[in-house]
Amino acid sequence: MSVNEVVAGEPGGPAPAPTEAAARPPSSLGREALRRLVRTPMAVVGMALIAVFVLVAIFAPLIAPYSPTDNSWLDQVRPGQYPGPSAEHWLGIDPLGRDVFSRIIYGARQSLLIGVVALALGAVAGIALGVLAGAFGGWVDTVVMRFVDIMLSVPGLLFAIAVAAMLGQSLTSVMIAIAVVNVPIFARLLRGEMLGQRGADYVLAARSLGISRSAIVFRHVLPNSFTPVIVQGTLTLALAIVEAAGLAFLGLSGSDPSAPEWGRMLTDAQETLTSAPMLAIYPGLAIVLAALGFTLVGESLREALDPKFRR
Amino acid sequence: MSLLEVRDLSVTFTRSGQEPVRAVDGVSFDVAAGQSVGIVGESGSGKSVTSLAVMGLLPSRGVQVGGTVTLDGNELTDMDQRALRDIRGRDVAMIFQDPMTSLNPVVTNGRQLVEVLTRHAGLSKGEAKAEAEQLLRRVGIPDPVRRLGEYPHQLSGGMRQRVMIAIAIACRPKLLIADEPTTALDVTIQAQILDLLRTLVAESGCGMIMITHDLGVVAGLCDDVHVMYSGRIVESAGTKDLFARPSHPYTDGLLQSIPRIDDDDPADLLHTIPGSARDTVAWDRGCAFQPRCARAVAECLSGPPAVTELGTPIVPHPVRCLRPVGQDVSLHEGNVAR
Amino acid sequence: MLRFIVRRLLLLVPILLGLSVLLFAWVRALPGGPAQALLGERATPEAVAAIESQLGLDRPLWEQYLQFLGRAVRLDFGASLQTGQPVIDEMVRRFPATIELALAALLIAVAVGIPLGYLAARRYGTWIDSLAVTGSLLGVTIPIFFLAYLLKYAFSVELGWLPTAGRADPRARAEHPTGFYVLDGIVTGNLGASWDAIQHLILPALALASIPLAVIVRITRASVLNVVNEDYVRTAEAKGLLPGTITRRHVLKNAMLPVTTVIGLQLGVLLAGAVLTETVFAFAGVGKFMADAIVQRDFPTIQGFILVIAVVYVVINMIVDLTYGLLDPRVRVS
Repeated sequence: MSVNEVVAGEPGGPAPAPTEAAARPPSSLGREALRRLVRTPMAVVGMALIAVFVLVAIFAPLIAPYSPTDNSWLDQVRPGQYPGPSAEHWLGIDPLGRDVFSRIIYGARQSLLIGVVALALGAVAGIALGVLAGAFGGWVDTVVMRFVDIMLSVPGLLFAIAVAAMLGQSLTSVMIAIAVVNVPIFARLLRGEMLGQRGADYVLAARSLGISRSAIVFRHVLPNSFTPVIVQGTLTLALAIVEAAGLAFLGLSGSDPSAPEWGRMLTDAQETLTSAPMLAIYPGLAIVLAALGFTLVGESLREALDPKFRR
Repeated sequence: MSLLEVRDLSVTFTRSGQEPVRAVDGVSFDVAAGQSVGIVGESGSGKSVTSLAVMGLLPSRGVQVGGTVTLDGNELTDMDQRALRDIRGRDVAMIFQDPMTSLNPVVTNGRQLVEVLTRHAGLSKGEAKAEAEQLLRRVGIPDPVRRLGEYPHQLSGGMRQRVMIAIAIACRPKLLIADEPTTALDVTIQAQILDLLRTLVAESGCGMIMITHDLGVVAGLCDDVHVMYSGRIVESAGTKDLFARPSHPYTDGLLQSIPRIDDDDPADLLHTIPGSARDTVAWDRGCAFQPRCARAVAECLSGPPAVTELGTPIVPHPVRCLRPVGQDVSLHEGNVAR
Repeated sequence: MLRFIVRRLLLLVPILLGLSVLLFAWVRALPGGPAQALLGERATPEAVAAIESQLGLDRPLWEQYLQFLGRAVRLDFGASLQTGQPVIDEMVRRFPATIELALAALLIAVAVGIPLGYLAARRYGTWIDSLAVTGSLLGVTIPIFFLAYLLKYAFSVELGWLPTAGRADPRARAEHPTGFYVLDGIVTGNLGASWDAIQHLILPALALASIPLAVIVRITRASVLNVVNEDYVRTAEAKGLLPGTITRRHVLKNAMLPVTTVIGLQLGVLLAGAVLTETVFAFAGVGKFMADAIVQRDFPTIQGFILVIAVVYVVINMIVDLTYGLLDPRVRVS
């Protein structure tokens, strides 16, 4: 089991009791949760961070003053001396003569891309496995869950390292590596939810009305199981960004070393840590803020959706 | 002077950004030594909050308590938590509704019983253990030595409630508060537990407050009854008197809703009170029961209804109602003939 | 109880077997296949072919798997491409360092996390609570190696309070009979060496502790919040028990159940996180060795490391499950 899951897991125990699930009217819950969400300062800060992050990623060419790979300022760099912030270069110049601010701005693109793709791949595969196990039960469930157990027996980061090392140096392999780590987490989450819902009163009611199994699963159980998936998804985005940085630190990142990537910028900054610590601070801060945005929203969302916290 | 005197008790819950909620409002009643007093009402009527206020167990934040609670001449509402802790468990003890959740699952029954004895009765661990065994025997638990070493989940619901009762009576309290002690139990067990409580009160001579939503529980157990609705006592009387002469329309409705098999007319078998406790009116605007009351008239919404004394100074029977049941000969209209 | 343990042990077998299949497949899927992975990217086709027949790669897959499994059971992962020594020897030599580091981090996480989480719950909604919650959210979003940089820069480079790297002062002479440097100092009566080792441990342990600390704070807080609202705590208060007794016997005893589970799980996270932390602090443990192996594409080492960590991880989790059974009487009986 990896960090992601522990952080996301319900404190101290089983998934929400089936009775609670049965009692919640799905549509009004979403609206009600949303209303409570915008009243939570934590969530508002988180949403603001996400908004900035996404907007910067989309409009990077408009915001960044220079190209992220333009190294025209190499002549201003001396070993151990890197020009700090100035009017032309807001965050200074890196050891290879590039504008740090532009690289940070473009880095948002890379991070967002990794996060979204890794989440999408991991969630889709995990959900498919979870639904398979939860809907069919029996030996299908046993086989799927054994597989999930095996995947969870390797700590998340190690798993990602192994996959990335296997697939070779490329952005795609990083995204797949992070996605794979999330597959068992989503699978287990969804299966648990579905099992909980299976015994819920409304499912029994639907079954007693003679509604077919697939109809119950797809029309009733699945939609009701999705709220925790949304929460987990938000948190996964945050962790994907952090994990991508960790992989970059171990040399497992995109194949183009000059591409602006926060994780790699942070890694490269280790060499100049004593002379230019700010070169580490900028990309580090960018990673923390982007990840924090998703974490804040995810955590607030969970609290908002948790019947225990409802007032 | 009575053992317990509650005077003008009020409890208000305040939460920032929300209207304060007055859960208990101007409640007064007495409990004499050896007397059992029932407080009856539906959920949300303030009966459980009243009992927690008497125990001093309400949270300090977001709660305002007014009025006085006096036990044996000592005013509890004045005391700080330190002093209250010495009284709780020793002079006043409480039995809660759900024995499944009211006992600590990871501590043995014995330890949960012993800890109250060592805390208040000044017994050593060994003495307390022997005493605990006696207590379990007294509340009718067979094989007490084995049970003491077991955990709550190894006992049935009824047995757990007996353990709770043993804990409550351990230090021979002057006052026992039982908050819906049988609600969570099977019907057959309910009677046994009530029997046990009746015997224990008779033997020890302590006072008891029985909090319940079930008039049937009160009938066999209590001397006096107070009926609460929306935070206020709406009718008080001796138990026999109340059953003979229910005067508040709410009390009347409660009694009517107990099914009677001896009634010949099947349509009369089950009465219900229309609406729910949520359909209410703030007491300062009028009678809180007005929206559900079949006897309501316009005056019911002009300020808090006055208390009418239907009894005598020796046998009081006050009712907070403008048109008490059975008293409406003089009033002009309404569905007099029920 | 014994049956419970045996059943849990049997459950491990399919997981470990599955893991070995996965790792076997992983080696097969490496770019260029296992022979290429062993020889490096510049190997000649002839050398590759020679190695392939030497490794038995021309035999049927199931035979190869059985051979792989047989060697894995004997902890034989081949020679490290970095040093030419058997992977297992390299790991055994470095394991004490990593265990020492992981335990130090766990100690920090538990010693700070549980009281802080408890305090946050008891002061729910106050600034202490907000601080604990915000801090723990930061703890899981900050990349470990970034935190390691920050600590290193602040406390070693700028303030000069603590050493920047390594496990011990290279000028100091100390014997290391166990490989656990702090312990070694005590065993050999060289307390100065112990103190030196502790100083070298502080920063990497702090960095490594960030995630477990954050997780423990949050779980403790949530768990205590749950428990203080339980009926049995109200019962305890109604009994007039002293606050200390209520906290210890009725709140903490229950609230610690989920925390125990999480602490066990965090050990796995710590072992994986050591790869990053040890690298920043040039701390000569298995984590650093693994990080180097990744950069050098030393696949036998990566493979051995993953298998060993996974085994350690599942065994720890089994122990945690058993402990849980001891702590919670409800599990014990069923």
